Amino acid sequence: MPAHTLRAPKRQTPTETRDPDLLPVDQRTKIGQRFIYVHYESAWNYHAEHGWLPKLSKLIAVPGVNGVGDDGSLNRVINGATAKGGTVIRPEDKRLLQSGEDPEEAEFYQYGRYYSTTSGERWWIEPGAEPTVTPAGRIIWNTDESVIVFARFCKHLRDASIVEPIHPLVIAEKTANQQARVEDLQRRAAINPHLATKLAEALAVLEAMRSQPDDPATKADKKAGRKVGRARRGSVDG
Amino acid sequence: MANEVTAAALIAEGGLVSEILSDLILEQLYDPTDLTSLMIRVPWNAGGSDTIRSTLDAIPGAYSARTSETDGSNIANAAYDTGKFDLVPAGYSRKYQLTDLLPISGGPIQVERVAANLVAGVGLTMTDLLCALFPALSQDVGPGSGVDLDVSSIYDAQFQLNSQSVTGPYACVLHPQQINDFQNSLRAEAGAIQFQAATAEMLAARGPGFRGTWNGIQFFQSDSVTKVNTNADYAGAMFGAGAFGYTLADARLAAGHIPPGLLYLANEALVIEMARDQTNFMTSLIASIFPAVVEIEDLRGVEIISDV
Repeated sequence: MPAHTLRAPKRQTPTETRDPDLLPVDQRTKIGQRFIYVHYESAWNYHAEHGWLPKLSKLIAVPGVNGVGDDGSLNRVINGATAKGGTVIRPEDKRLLQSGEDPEEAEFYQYGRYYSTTSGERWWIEPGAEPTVTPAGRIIWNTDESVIVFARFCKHLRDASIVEPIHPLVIAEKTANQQARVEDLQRRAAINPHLATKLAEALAVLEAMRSQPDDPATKADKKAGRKVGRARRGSVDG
Repeated sequence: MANEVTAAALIAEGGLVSEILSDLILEQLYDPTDLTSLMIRVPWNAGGSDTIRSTLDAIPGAYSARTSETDGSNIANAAYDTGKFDLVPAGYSRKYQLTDLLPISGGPIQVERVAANLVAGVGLTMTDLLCALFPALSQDVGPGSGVDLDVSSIYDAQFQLNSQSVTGPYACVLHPQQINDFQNSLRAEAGAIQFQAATAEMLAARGPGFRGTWNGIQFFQSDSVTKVNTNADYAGAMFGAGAFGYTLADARLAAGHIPPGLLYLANEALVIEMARDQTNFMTSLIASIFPAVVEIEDLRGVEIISDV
């Protein structure tokens, strides 16, 4: 073979042992799986800033789980959730777009997003989640910020009517549950002083639940000048 | 002095080796929890489909009183509402490729050990799949997003299952962090809870997986429990028997496609085959299973959400 010169060597910083754009994973790492959100009518949480927000369940798209086949199709699991009365939050639902948003840069539209990993698998994340990789390869998630984004996501689902509005009787049920929690803490706080902080927090949430009902029916009552008292009580069958 | 016979010299020039390999092999740290037994096993029948459908029988109903002594025609037909759930097995595999130098070098990591490692992976896979079902449950309890799990939330879960007439004993699968938080809450409790014998038992350290029984609830921990709420919380679950089911499609049936000489192991749960790459002097061990898990009845389980 005649003498020849090799061209265009590949570049890599000598100290770099892995691609910085990939999330480092090892055999013990549990990777975020592909998922779709679903909302069930009674699943609501009270949020200090935004009021009643839908609590979302995750249908995880792992083959072999709840009817997901080798192809990753979610049809069966979506049908199952719908049969249970769930509202599936489809990532391609245009109502996920916030006003004036470009679909390509939308915050919530097509919320199914992922990072690539060193193992070749995809690490699916929820809205707002952002990883930081330390030099030692630890992945730290920005949970303080992401929960704020996620709360806005849930608020958007509520405000854009992507989920059914909360029923007044669900508010009553949740308020009664909180009342029971407060009473339980009150009983135990006397001999468990460390529960005093929890009791104060639980009381604050209960007061907020009672004083700021944001369900449409109560708003209508207020607008019509009807007396709005404690959330109406109900009992659940079935 | 000169010409001392030192170990360093012998290592460098021959006469000693720098290390010898001990026969002792220790496991690296991992979570070996296998939660398969918490699910109901649905036998696999290969009958012309990749899906097996099981029936949930109609709920027996109390009789209605007749409104007439003689005319039975006023008894309306009762609905016989059955339910169903489907199990769709999917192929899961794991492969190790070994060079011929392994047997020639005579180390302790040989084909048999690698195969045993593959067998241990079956239970880990089932645990991963079971825990993937928890975030889909429609009922949930918890102290609030970002708040450590406490005794009250465990009671909430227990009460919720009891309200749905779910029969015990209940199983509770939590992430190790959730177990730590629960134990932390337990040890801080004064009063009736403090003096339960089970509380002392629950605080004791145990082997992997099973953490103890408290209030009649069997507690398990697994690092397969998934995160929810943008990684702010873990989604464990408490459930009664019949909440979740699984099947393992008979892997032996796939062995019919494997030349007998390359079949390493075939049983109902898994098949391990060998593949030879002569040009690279490598032998692969490839294990395959065909599992499926399903939420049989949603009301039999409740998700437990608490801080990571």
